[in-house]
Amino acid sequence: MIQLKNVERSYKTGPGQTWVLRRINLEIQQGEFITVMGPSGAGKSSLLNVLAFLDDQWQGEYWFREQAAHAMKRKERAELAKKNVGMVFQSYHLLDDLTVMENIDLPLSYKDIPRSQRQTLVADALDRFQIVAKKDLYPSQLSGGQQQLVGIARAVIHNPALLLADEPTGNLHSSQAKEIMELFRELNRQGTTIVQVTHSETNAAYGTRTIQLRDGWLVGDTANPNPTIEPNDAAVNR
Amino acid sequence: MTGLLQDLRYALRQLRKRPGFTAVAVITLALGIGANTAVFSMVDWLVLRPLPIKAPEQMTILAFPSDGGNFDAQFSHAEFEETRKQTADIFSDAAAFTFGGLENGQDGLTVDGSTKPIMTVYASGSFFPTLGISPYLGRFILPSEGSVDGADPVVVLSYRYWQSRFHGNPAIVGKTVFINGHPITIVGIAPKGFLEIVPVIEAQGYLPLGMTTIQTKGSPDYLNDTRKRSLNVMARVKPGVGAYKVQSLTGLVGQRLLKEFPRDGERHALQAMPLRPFSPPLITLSGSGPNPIVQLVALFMILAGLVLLLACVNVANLFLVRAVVRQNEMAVRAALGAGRTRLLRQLLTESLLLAGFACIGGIALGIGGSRLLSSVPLQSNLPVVLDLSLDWRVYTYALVTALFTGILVGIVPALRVSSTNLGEVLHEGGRTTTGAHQRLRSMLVAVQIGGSLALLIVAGLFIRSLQSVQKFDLGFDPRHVINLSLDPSKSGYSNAQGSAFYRELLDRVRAMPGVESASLAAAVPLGDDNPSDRLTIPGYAPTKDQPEASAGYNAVSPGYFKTMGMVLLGGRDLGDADNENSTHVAVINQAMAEHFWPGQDALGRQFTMSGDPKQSITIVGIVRNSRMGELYGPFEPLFFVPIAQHDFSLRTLQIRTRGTTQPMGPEVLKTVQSLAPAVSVFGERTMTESLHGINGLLLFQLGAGLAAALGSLGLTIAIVGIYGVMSYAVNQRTREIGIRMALGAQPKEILTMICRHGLFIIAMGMTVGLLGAFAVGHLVGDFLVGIAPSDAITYISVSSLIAFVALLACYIPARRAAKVDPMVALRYE
Repeated sequence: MIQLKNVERSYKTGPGQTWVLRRINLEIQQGEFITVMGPSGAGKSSLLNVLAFLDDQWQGEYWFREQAAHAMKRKERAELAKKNVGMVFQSYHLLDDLTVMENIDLPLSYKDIPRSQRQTLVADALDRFQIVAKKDLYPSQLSGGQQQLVGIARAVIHNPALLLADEPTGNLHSSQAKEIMELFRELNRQGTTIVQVTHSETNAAYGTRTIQLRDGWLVGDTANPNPTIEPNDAAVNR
Repeated sequence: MTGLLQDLRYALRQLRKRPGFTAVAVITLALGIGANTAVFSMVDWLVLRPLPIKAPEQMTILAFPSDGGNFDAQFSHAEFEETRKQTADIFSDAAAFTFGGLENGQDGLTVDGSTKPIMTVYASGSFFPTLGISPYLGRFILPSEGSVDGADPVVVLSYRYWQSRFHGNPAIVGKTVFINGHPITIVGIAPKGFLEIVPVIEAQGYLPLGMTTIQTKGSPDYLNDTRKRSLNVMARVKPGVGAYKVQSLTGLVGQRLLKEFPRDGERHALQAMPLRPFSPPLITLSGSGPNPIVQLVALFMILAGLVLLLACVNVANLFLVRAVVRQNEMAVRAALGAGRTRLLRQLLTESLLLAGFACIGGIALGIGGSRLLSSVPLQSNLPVVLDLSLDWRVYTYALVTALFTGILVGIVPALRVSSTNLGEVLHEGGRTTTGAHQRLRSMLVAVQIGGSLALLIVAGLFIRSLQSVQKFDLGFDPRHVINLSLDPSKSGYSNAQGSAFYRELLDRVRAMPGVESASLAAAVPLGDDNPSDRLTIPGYAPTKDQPEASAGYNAVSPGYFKTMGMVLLGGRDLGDADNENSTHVAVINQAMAEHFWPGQDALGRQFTMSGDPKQSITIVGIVRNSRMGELYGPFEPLFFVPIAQHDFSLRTLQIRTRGTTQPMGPEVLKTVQSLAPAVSVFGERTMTESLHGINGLLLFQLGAGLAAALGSLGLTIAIVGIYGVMSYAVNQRTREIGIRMALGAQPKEILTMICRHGLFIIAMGMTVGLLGAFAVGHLVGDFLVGIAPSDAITYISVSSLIAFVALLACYIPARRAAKVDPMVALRYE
């Protein structure tokens, strides 16, 4: 489904450059549930931003369902993301001024979907995530777990092939986190490919594969015990 | 469409959820739009509003252009008839008319024994058919009427005059009334809204051209006298006839006219110019050269535009602050699939919605402002109409201004926020702010300070100019003097009857308690009419560069100088002995004595007036210089002749009282009523009121008031701007301030640090403002009297005021920053 070949990302810092992703080679199959782990500053969120097409300042090759995303224009990539990717954030990023229902409807509103069809889809999502009673509430009136539930509902409303989650349970207590992770497992069973970033071993256990990042290098992959990296170079800045 | 509705709904919710932000932005923009709408209503009235006639674009007015941008648009009746005949190929019809008749003034309309002034137009029978309008009631002057002196005693009244004098009574049509004592039948009412083709002074009655006999006391030679050129000629171009053909044939006809009816001086080819309110040939009816009111309005349009720009800058700044706060929201929307265009559209929907609300407020303010301008007392005897009502052009202007404003204030913040790095914002929770944002906001505030400084300097120049005019020596004492104008000839009185009436009136008024002195004059200082005449002075020969001898004059009764508080410097005053049978005499002013008899004694010298070249006038006295037509400039030569020796039926009774002038008016009116019930008094006002009228200080006061209002508006907007930006900057730096204080910084150092930032913005803004003011100041130079456009006092005082106010707006948030508790500040996020 996804192939990253020698993907690199750096930021200009004064006269030099700081590398956050180094020569990442990664293949993700349809239906996988991947967990990305590593210490702070390892490049986990940067990798997620690349996968989500939120970032377009990287080098290398990114193949998405046999399409060369790296050769696309910014607008084409955005179109690709709109159709195929859903995102769940650690701090939920619900819009404060919109109700639960309107937040869930938001991704649909950016597509050419008739209003009646959108209403049906939102109603289905409210049912599926059992938040019908909360549909007219604003995010500030919900608990953290409920907000993340809405965030997930919003991320999957348009049935994305790839769901990306950046520390989705980071702000939740353990019982709420368990519920969310169960939900991810269920979505994965239904066919959604999931990539999550987490520090939690418990959450990682829900996944089918774990990759490890350190200082921007991919240093471990449970599906590929010998990743094509040069560990000795890992700490060296080019 | 659904997406647009959704954007609109979200935009409404955004504005409703932040009432403070919405209120400040809407009020700021409404003030800017309102000021522009009010000033634009003047532009509309002066320049854009077409005449309420059929196909106004086909109408032309004929004129010979002359050097210096002036026009000679006056024709004799014979010239008009000839022109009409020879232009039949290009004009479907042509008409001649004279505004105010031969006297260029008002007539008197007597109904049921009561006479009131009426501003008349004498027009050819083709006048109304050429305009292509229909009467509101009755009929117009017929094409067959008007070509024979005194033959068609009919009048058409204007709708407004009919409403105000006859309360819209339809029975008045067909009634015989008296104009200047002559029986005339009212045959119709002109359509509502038609105020004649010069829409400032309302034409209240239309009479056939031949009826000018009622002004010439029955003399029937007007239509046949080819030397009397007092007619304007307008014509309607036939459909399908091109401009080139019109100008070619008109030029040819003009050449034939000049050959057959020669005119003095050089004349360019006769032209057919578009007939518009205030079109150049018509403006020459009331004076020559460019219209200063039009120029003044253009200047105020620029100033109002500057206010709007300041308002836009202010709101754009608010939007920039909001843009930083909303970075996270926009990043989330983008991450969920919103394209850049969609984000831009949503943000612009918000700013346009805001501008829409401001437009409603602005129109309301504009209506208030134009009503206020329309209600300014003009202190004129003429039926001046200031019709600043808002029409579709003004509403369209307000809407377009709002649209432009909405885009202007929204586009930069929208572009910035829609091009943010999404990943970064989402990862950092939307708390990022960039130096570029802060720099742009600081630059915008500098523009505000500069703009308001330029505005206030212009306002200051106008105020100083007004002060300067107010200090000018009038040469007379306007206090405790009341003026009442009367014209018994308009009620059918003969010259002898009129003189007897005035004599009796003067005697009775002088006997009233509280009256210090009373006198009569043909003209009053700063009044509507200031007579002047060409003079023949023995021994005076103007050089090549000098114009021929002329001077302003006034016909006055004995006691005039005492009533006006004017000082006699030599010779004697005019007395009762100076009557129609005695030697003709005059008292002249210093300027006249110095101009025509420099270094000599003017007393006993003689001169003649062009109107009566055989009658020598002997100078018997010299008075101190005084103002007559204009409040400023050098004193012009002026002489005073006994009214008994000159025929002026319209006279102004001037009364100097010992105390207040208020109770005197009704008493005098009662006296006039008892003496001659048919004679009406018009234009009753004090000399001080006249001084503040349209011919006096009014334009200076309006200019100063309007400029001061716009300047204050600009200053308020700038204060809000600088305070807002400094407050926001302090909020953004709270954590930094906390760290500095935790590391040992003293409040004074924090205060200095914040103020330094403000000072830099203020200095930048003031530099821009001073340069701008210098440029604009020179544009307004023509309207300033007694001060230079680079008046140092204005520049220094206004700059100090702006600097002080801006520093204060900067100091308040800086002091708050200096009081920050480091513990609280370090927890601040």
